[in-house]
Amino acid sequence: MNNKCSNEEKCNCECEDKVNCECGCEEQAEQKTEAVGSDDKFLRLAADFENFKKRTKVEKEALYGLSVCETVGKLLPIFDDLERALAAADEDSAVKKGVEQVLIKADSVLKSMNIEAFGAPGEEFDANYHEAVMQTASDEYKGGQIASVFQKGYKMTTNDKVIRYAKVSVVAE
Amino acid sequence: MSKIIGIDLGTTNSCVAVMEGGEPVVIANAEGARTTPSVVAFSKTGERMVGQVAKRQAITNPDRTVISIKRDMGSSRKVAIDGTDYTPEMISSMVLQKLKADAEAYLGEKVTEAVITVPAYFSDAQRQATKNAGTIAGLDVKRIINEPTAAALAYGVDKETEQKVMVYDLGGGTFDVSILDIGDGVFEVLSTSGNNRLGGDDFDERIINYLAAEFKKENGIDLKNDKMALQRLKEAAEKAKIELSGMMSTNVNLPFITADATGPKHLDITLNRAKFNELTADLVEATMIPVRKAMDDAGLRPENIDKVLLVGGSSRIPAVQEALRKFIDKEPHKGINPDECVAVGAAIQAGILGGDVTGLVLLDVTPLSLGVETYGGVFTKIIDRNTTIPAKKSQIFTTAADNQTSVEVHVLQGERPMAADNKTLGRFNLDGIPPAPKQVPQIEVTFDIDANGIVNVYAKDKGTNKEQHITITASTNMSKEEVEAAVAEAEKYAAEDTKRKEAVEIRNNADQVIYQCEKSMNDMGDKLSADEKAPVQAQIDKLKETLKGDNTDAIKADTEALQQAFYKIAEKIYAQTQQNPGDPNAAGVDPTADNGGADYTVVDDDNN
Repeated sequence: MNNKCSNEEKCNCECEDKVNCECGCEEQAEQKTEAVGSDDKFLRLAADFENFKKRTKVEKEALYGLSVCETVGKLLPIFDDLERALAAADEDSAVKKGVEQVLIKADSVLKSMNIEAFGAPGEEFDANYHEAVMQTASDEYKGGQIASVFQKGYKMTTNDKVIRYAKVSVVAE
Repeated sequence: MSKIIGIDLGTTNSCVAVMEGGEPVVIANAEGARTTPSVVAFSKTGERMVGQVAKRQAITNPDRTVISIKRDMGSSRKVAIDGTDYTPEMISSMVLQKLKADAEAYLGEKVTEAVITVPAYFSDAQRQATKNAGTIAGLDVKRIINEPTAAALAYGVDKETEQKVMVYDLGGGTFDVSILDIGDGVFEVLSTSGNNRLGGDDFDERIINYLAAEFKKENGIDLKNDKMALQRLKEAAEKAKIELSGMMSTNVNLPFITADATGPKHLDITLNRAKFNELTADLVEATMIPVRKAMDDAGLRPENIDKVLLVGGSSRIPAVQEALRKFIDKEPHKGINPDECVAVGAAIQAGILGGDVTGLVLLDVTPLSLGVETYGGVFTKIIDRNTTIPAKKSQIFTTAADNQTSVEVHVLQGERPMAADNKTLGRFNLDGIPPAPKQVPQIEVTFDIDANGIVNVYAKDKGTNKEQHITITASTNMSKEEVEAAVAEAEKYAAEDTKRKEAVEIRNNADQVIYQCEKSMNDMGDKLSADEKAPVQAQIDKLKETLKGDNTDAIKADTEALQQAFYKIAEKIYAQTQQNPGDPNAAGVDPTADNGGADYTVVDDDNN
């Protein structure tokens, strides 16, 4: 291996002939580079960790709310079906009354969790809350308004976070 | 230090990832989703929308909504919206801008550089257009890499020996297959093929048709004519497809799907995987045609392919994986989320360019727990297994007997609660502890493991600062099998061991109670009459006798009895304390306190 010092000025050995000496200054230089490299790795990792901590804290705080939204979202189709059952039930039947009561209970549970339904014909279509699944003509409503609701939307009233977007048909312009 | 992000700019969906602590992390967008639809739209009032919100209004606003712009990249085709002409680069830049903003929100710092992926078959013009889109979005595109290459990076294939890899990418609406030759960090594309109008939606369609047909057979109603019903069918079909990737059958349950003169109608159909495969067999075969073509173009036979990597959501479909397995006669690789692996690969490339070392801190872990033996032969863990090292942890112990002047630190490794069942790593003594009543001295035991797995154990008497220590090498030198065996053994004997440990603890507690009672009575001296002391002494003697045997239940019962007897004179003792607050011997003696005994005992948990 060539141990010749590559930088005469920086070489700190005592040899008179700095060009041909074999003091291994290059080795020292290599070690120094390695040390600087390790330092850099460390700083990057330290920075990553700091950022990770900050972000994890925020994520943790948000986690409960997100879990609730996800769980409620999975149960919503059941509420949808209950509403369909209500619509299909015979007038004045005991079963209809019963289903009505079930739905009232469902509504009250959701309300207690600060969740409310939204989406009704006649409202202005707003992509922040609604998903358009089709366009249609309408005598009753104007262009850009919701013609009918295929599936109600649900959102948190506390922070306006949408749990499920409403699926709607929109009146064509 | 700003980070370079990795972006998968897809036809239907895009995804962004970044290296963090040596690992690629997919960044969720502002809405919380890990992929963002590659859709751009302008409202009537000129307001710009990108992503999910743009997709939601697409049907109402087809003239101002742009989808699949990737198909036009590199061409001179412009999109005219409200009098303004947009080039494909400009539209793509809007998607990139959103991804950039989401990344900045996640990282908490500005992002100015990126690596973006493109299909392997993209021409120079198409690649340049992609780079331009980045520039318009305010990103310095450090590199454009091929999507199959990114997938290979995500799977770590580049770190292995030279091999021929097929990347099978069945995504939202397009299918791409590429054959790569990977070796020495060089990725050579041997051939590509595909079908850019074939994707997951086609599979959904088959299920919809099947459900509608079955329903019609039974009820005479065609659900496809009912818009509401059709919408529910679409959702149910996609859900069923996804479920069938993990289960052998699924039930499509849609009550009140429609109604006729006879009343409401319900759809309740069970779809099994075999039926689904039958319904989609031609689609799967349609993907195998480009696969064979790519092989032919590369001049390879199935046995020449070393690996198949799966990319794209629809590659999750079992029939697809089965067809590939049959063709290549090997199991396709699917360890990484197929919707995200291209972005992950881009992030890895970004990390390499940015100087982040991947797999950086080859952090080792201590494979088995480390600790010391405490009173009664119990193993007290100080460092849990799988703790990332370097690590340092301390705990304070104390003496078990009055006037104990030395403690033995017996260092062990293992998972069993009793010291004798674990492996001894070393022992040493700490002498010169000044004589004192038991549980008074504070001995701090520190375990310090360096990055090489060398363990230094220190014991320091906090009163005198006298310290002893030993160095143990090779504590991490265990084979995977040895570690698994130790853990399995601990699980196997868990019930027994718990019982044994409990028995020891009951013993220790008994000792403790005897000690406290005797001490209290001695301290009170003449202030207690012989009649008062007698019952307590009798219980003490009984318990001492019982402790000679092994009957844990008896020990427990006798300890209880002693405590009960002691309570009778406790009142008097506490009353005395009130009168003589300065009497150190009467200070706070609680015979019911559980101090866990000790050759030395655990007094405090001092986390470093």
